[in-house]
Amino acid sequence: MKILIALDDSPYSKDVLEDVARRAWPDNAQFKLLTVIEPFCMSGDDEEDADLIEASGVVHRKRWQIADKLCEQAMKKLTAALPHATVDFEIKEGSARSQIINTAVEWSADRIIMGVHGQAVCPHNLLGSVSQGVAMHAPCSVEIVRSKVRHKVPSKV
Amino acid sequence: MKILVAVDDMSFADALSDFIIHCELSKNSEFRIMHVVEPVFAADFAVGFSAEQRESLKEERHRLGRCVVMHIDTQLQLKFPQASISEIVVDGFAKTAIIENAASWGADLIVMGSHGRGSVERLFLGSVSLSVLAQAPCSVAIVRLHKLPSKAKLADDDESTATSDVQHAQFRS
Repeated sequence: MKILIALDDSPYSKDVLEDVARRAWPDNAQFKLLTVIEPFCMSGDDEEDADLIEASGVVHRKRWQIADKLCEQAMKKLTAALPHATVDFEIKEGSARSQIINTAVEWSADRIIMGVHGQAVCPHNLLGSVSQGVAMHAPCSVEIVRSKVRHKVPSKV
Repeated sequence: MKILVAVDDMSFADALSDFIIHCELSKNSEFRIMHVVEPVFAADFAVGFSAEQRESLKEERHRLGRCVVMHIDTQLQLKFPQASISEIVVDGFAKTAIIENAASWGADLIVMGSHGRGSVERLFLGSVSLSVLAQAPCSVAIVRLHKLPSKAKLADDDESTATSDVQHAQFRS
């Protein structure tokens, strides 16, 4: 049984991991943790500015480091909770929605598990655009984990 | 853990019980299997059903609903003999009934199928599952019957789509 867990650095993803770790999965469960780094938007003129290119390179590398650390921590946590399960991780670049779906297709996942931001970030929009997109287009069953705890929206948003 | 299983017709019954059985949820899970009988639509009146016929149509729908619910019930009982399992068949609109029931019962997870019918073709997720997904007070699992090889791609930004589609076709063949 192949289970794809889509993660980001939000508290919702931590809830998803805890939820998954609490359950008793079959011994043949294979987990893949996926983090998607979304593209860094630059407009026309910016692309010729050497300073900006350098800065974006720094940001890009930093994001990879953060994603790497996030996945490794999550992998450790899951391996500790589910010693029989196989866990690995993958980091992809692109739009979160399409990369999650593509990974599910390529890996032929049986299930996608992910959290949901919607209500906190944008109250009238009850389901986040990524979770909605994945739920609508996924090739397999999708489980949206919604924790009963409301997390505060980070003030920088 | 309280799990609300919302079931529509027989086509999803096996897929739903399979999903739950493979979920390996915590041992003291409590299940509620639910079927919603939607009101007889205006279109049914147009063809001239009498009140009596409408009543028997409704009864028939209740009976079919109970069949599906009992089918899942049996499968879950085999797998989880100790679990407490209840069944309900209610009148109402599927999406509101499911959401209200999940809230009043205090469900932790709603498990339901997705037909993706009654909407434009590109919308794979049905309107009921989408509303439940958006408005439910708890986690929601949408169970799919089978993968959709030709449709399982996005027209978006990815070069990898073409290759993954081929791989996917191989997986299913």
